[in-house]
Order: sequence, then structure tokens, then C-alpha cells
Amino acid sequence: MEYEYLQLLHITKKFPGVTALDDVSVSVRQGEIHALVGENGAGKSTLMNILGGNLQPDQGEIRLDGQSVRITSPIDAFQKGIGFVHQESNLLENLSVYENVFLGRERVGALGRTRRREMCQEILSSSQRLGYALEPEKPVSELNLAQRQSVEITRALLGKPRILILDEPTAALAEDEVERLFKIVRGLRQEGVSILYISHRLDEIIELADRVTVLKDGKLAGVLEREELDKDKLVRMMVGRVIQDIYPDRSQVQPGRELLKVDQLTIPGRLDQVSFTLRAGEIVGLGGLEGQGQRTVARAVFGDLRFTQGQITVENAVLKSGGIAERIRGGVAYVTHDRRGEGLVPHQSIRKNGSLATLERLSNSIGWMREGRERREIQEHMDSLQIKASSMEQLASHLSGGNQQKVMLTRWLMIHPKVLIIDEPTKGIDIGARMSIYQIIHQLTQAGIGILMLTSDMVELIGLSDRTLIFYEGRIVRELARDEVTEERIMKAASGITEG
Amino acid sequence: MKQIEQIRRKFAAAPQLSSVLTICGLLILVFLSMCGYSESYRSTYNITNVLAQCAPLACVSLGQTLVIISGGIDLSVGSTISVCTAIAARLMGGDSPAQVALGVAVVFLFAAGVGLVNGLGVNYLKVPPMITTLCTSTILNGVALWILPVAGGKINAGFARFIYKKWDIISMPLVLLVLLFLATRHLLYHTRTGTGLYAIGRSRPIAQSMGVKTRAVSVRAYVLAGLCAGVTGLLLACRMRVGDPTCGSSYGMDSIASAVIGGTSLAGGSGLLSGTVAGAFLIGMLSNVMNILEINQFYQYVMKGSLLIAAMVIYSISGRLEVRRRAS
Repeated sequence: MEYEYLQLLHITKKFPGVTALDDVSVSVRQGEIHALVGENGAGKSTLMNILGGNLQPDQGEIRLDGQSVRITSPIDAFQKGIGFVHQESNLLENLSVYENVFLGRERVGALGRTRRREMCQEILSSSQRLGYALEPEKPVSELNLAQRQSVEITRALLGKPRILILDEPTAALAEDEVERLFKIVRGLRQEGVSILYISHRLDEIIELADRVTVLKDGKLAGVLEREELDKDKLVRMMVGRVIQDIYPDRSQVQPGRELLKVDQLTIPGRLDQVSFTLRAGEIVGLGGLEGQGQRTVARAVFGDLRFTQGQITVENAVLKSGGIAERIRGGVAYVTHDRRGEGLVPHQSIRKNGSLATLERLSNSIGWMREGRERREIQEHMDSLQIKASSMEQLASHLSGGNQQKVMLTRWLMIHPKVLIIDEPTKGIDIGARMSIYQIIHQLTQAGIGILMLTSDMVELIGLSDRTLIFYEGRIVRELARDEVTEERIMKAASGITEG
Repeated sequence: MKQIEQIRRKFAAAPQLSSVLTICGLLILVFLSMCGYSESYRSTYNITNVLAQCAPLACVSLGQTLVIISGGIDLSVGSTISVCTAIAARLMGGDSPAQVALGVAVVFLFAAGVGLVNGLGVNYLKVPPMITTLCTSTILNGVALWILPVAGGKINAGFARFIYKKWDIISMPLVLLVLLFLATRHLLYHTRTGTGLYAIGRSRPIAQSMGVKTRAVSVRAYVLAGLCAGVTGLLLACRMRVGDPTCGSSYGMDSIASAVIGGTSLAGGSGLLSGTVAGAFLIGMLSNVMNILEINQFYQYVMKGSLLIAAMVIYSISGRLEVRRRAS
């Protein structure tokens, strides 16, 4: 069992503006559960994407079974016995379960006819062996996140992998689903499969892992054997500094008047009587597992979703059901989690990206832009947010993640918001830029803006929120004040367990 | 009971199926009301004719549907049809069967070649499908006029009669259409290529990461679209018994319209062949009805456009209802 089946040696990977991995070496023994931990932006995902064939390392070597290999594509990785279960579902929604599982390696008979029945049968038997029920002919679009994950696992196991990568597999799972996943993972270890398990939930890792590699800021922070595992030790290795140093001190914050009031907001099937308030200068964190309604609330407040029941009030003015333009005029802003997809216009300059939400104010009555004013205001924000760029004409796509996020903030600060919704404020951003963004958020609250924050990073949720609302199946199941919030309480509430 | 459950499942798996039924219902409605209206319409002769007339559009639309499902579009099928009739009229005038066979072979080779060029342009030169096929279409318009400056040439009469042979209500074009339908159906629903077409239509990067040979699959779709256009070209040539360098011009847009009316999404990734055939028949039948009622040609275009808009609106609404139904 001591045989090191997979060795990643001295891997270095640079992206524009950031070194994601700096001389990182990891070795995985045959038939062990090897956890890879680190904060957001520590380089876990980059490393796994290199192993999965999505990225090529700038330097370094990968050895499989003692042989030096190059993994050129995901399908190449698959053929070399590396199975990958992605964090975000990597399935085709327009196809059925069996088509997704067998895509690219369908069983075919005479005349190239695909053997549907045989494939479905195979899925049924393998999923029964693993202890869950999949309906092979159901379209993937009808499955929930946990079921989609089972589809991905079934697909990965089909290639009889020697190594299985699980990237944040429990992010979208409730507690009983997590237990089932653990059982599957342990079963695979019995069969001699090496598991690379990426997570930032330390309790899970201590329960499951045989060995842990810790990454910090793109560098190797250390390797721990099972008997050395200890939560405090892990946290120290991961963070390298105490939490107080990263997050601004908000213990003295005194929230002001009520800015936003959400009352009995209901969207059938998605939200169930959600009520909460947000006051000036306050950060309210919306937490929970993925897809439990946090984002739906944010979108409804921002006017992107229609609702028929309930009421949203901003500074005592009742808002209509739909209409983003009206929200922007009313001082509600939403910084999206999907910077590339719905945030930035990548091939436009910082200036044009920044003024996108305020075109009306920055143009005269016949629609000509007041460019002088536009430049002046953008420059002010670039200075105060410390955006690092050669000029405001630099293209957004050429900026690092942290600076892109600041351009997004610029856009929304230009409307002089009262309520600022920030969805995943530091997704894919390195630690230095994260601290700077936390500082900005802190300063904004001091200027009297109320902030609604959505995040899947639990440390961030605890570190930044003045109040934390935990969502489960479209309801707020728990509200935690700053002095009573703990990881354990959040996890329990997020899995739908009510505390006595 | 088990069968009912199976049917219910099938409907749940493919929401477009209900739209296909709607169109079929519409077809029957048009047909029955015309039968009631006109004595001559009821005649076997006319019904056979109508069916045979709809077949060419249906054939080319089948190929178009494959391309659209794969996330592309082929604007060049109309010009391909024109060139095919021109080639046929040049080569298939003689009496010897060998000459006719040669003509058929050249037509299909040419049509497949056009598809191959489109496919390679889209997948290897990375030119967007709309632009690639627009370019080949423009070039082919010139080629058609070069082969046959004005409508003319000759098609072997025996061959043309064979292609338009009729037995009561069944005609050879209809038989050919059914064969082509079964072949494309097998390809789309029961082969790896078919699953691959749906996959790349939804998301090329994901399909690629799952091991689909995206470029090869996409090229195949364009080649098949070319071949289907070749079939339509031969059918038209045999109907006219001459070649016409501009006869295909309306088929490019009409084939796209048939597919869309039949429930294929222009965004790629979804669609059914049976819907396309129904859509083609609806367009063909309504044109025929308007001819019989002696309605000006002008209104036929208006009709086609309105039909397309109506289809789009209905699908967009039913799509949104579907989303809402699933949410609740």
C-alpha cells in the first residue's frame, strides 16, 4: 500500500498576473484517500485541472506508475485511468443519463446501432452496487445536484480509473447524501483506487482522509499523515495567519436605519416565505448549500425574477415584481458571481465596463456621452479601489481576477447604491486581492451602504457577516448573530437539521 | 397500462413530441377542410400530387435539421440543389443507363463535396457556419449559371418517369422520402454520431471533454445536409425534366423554416426529425392550397413568414410554461 502510484513533481503554473502553482509536488499512494486542502485560490483547482488534462503545467513532471506522462486533454486523462468528478456539473442537459454516462464511448452493435438497453442495464447495476438509484433514461435536466453528481461518478467509474479526483464533492450535498458519498469513496479505496479528494471542509477531511496535502497561496505548505491530523494544525497550515488578520474588525459596527426589508417573499418551488431586513452599514451573509434559494432571493431583490407573493421594500418604498432598471434607479446593485458570463464585457475597456450601469446619467439628452465626466468619475473609483491597470482604456479581459472584481464594483458604485448585493465576492481571487476587497466592503459599510453577501466559502461567511442567514430548501432556517456563528452550527442548519 | 406509461415517459423525455402532434393536427385540419371545400382536391390524383410535391422540401429539410441540431446552420443547400439540377440536366440527357448512373453519381459526389467544404470551413478554418455557408452558397450560384446559363438541358425521360412513378396514393418521391427519413432517423437516434450531434449542439467544450470527436461529428452533419440537398436536386430535375440554375433558391430558407416549425431549436441541441417532415409538409400543403384557391404568389411569402413567426412564438411560450411547470 506504500507504492506511490501518482507523482506530481515540481509543478509550476502561471496565469496573467498570478502564479497559481509554484513548485508544488504531491504524491499519491495506491489505494489511499488523499485530501488536498487549501483556501480559495490556494491552487487546488489548478492542480487538479492539470491532472485532469484541462491545463498544461508550465514546468514540472507528472508520473503515473513510475512513467513520465503528458496529459494532453480530459479524454487523454480518462484513458490513462484518471477519473474526474467536477465541482460544477459537467453534463449535457439535453441528453439523458445513459447518454451522458456513455458519451464518447457508447456501446455499439451492428450497423453502428447504439445498444441502449445494454448501456442502461450497465448503469443500473453499477449504481445499485454503489447504493443509489439512477434512472438511466431520464433527462439530466430533471435531476437535482446530488443526482447529477452520481451521474458523474458513474461516468468516471466506467473507465475503471486507478485515480479518482473528487473536486468539492460535498458542496451541494445534504448530510445524508454526504454519508452515502463517503461510503462509496471508502468502497473504492478497498478496490485499490486512489482518491484525490479536494475540499475545504476540514471535519470531512479528518473523518475521511489517509493523508492530507496542504496548499497555501500556490505553494506546498506540508503533508500530514492520518495520525497527525488535527483541525487546528490544518487551519494554521492553510491560512498561515489568524483569521483576524484577513478580515476587517467589525465587532464595533453599529448598524443604522433599515434599508431593505424582504417580507414573506414566496416563489412557488423556489422560495418559501423568506423574510429579513438589512440595515445601513450592515453586512448580512446568506449561506447554506448551493442552490437552496440564496441566489433566488438576491435575484428577486435585484428585480431579475418575478414574484407574486410577498413584498420587497427599499427605504420604505415598495418595489414592483420585476424590472432591473427600476431597481438601479432605486439604489439596488448586484455584483454577479459569474464575472465572465454576465458581469464584464471582456473586450471592452475598464472605462466602458465601469460606466455600463450609469449610461443614462453620463449622457446628455440626445444620448451623447459626457466623456469628460465619465473619465473623471471612473478615475476616482480606480484610485479609491486601487485598480492596477495601465490606464482606464485597458481591456477588462487583460486584468487579474481581483482587478476585474474591482471593475465590477466600480460599475455598481457609480450608481451610488444604498443596497449592494455581492454574490461570491472573492471567487477565483488570490489572497492579497481578497484582503483588499474585504477592506473595500468594510469601508463601504462605513459609508452607510447595506451589503447583502452570498458566499459558498464558509470562512468568508463567518469572517465578514454581521448576521448570517442560513437557507435550506428555499427557506431561512436559522439566523446567527456575529457572536454565535460557528462552522458547525452553519453546517447543521444548512443540512436541514434543527437545533434544540 | 405499461404501454401508456411508456408513452407518457416518451412525452416527458421529449417535450417537442407534443408540438409535432400539434403540427400533424394542423396538417390534417388543412387537408380535411380542403377536401370539404373542393371536389377536385379530394381526388386520388391530386392527393398523390400534393404528397409528391412536398417530398423535395422534406428531403432537404432532414439534412438541414441535422446541421441545426449540431449547433450550425446551412444556408447553401438551396444553391446546392440548383447546381445539382444543372449537373443532372447536362449529364443525364442520354439514353444509356450508364450515362444516367454516371449523372446520379456525379450529383451525389458534388453534393457531398459541398457539404465537406462547409464542414471543413466551419470546423477547421473556424469560420462561423452562417458565413461559411453563405460564401459557398454565393459561389455555387455562380457555378450553377456557369454550368447552365438558362434553364434547359434534358433528363432521360425513362429515368424521370421512374422517379415519379405512382401507385394509387403512393409515389416514388414519397417512397424515397420515407427511406431517407428512416436512414437519418437511424443515424440521429441510434448511433454515436447522433448522440454526438445533440451533444455538440448543446455545448462543444463539454462534449469535447467527454470524448466526443466534435469536429468529425460536425463535418458529418454538413456532408449529410449536402447529400440530402442532392436528393432534392434530383427529384426537382426529374419533375421539371430540365435543369434550372435558380430553381433551388427558395429551399435554403424553406428548409430552415421547416425545421423550426417542426420544433428544432436554432440554438442547437434539440429537435426531432418527424417534426421537420411535418413542418415541410405544412409549408408545402399551404402553398398548394393557395395555388388551388388562386391566391396571389405574394401572399404565399406572407403566409410562410407568418407561419414561422407563429411557430417561434408558440415554442417560446410553451418553453417558458414548461420551465415554470418544472419549477413548481
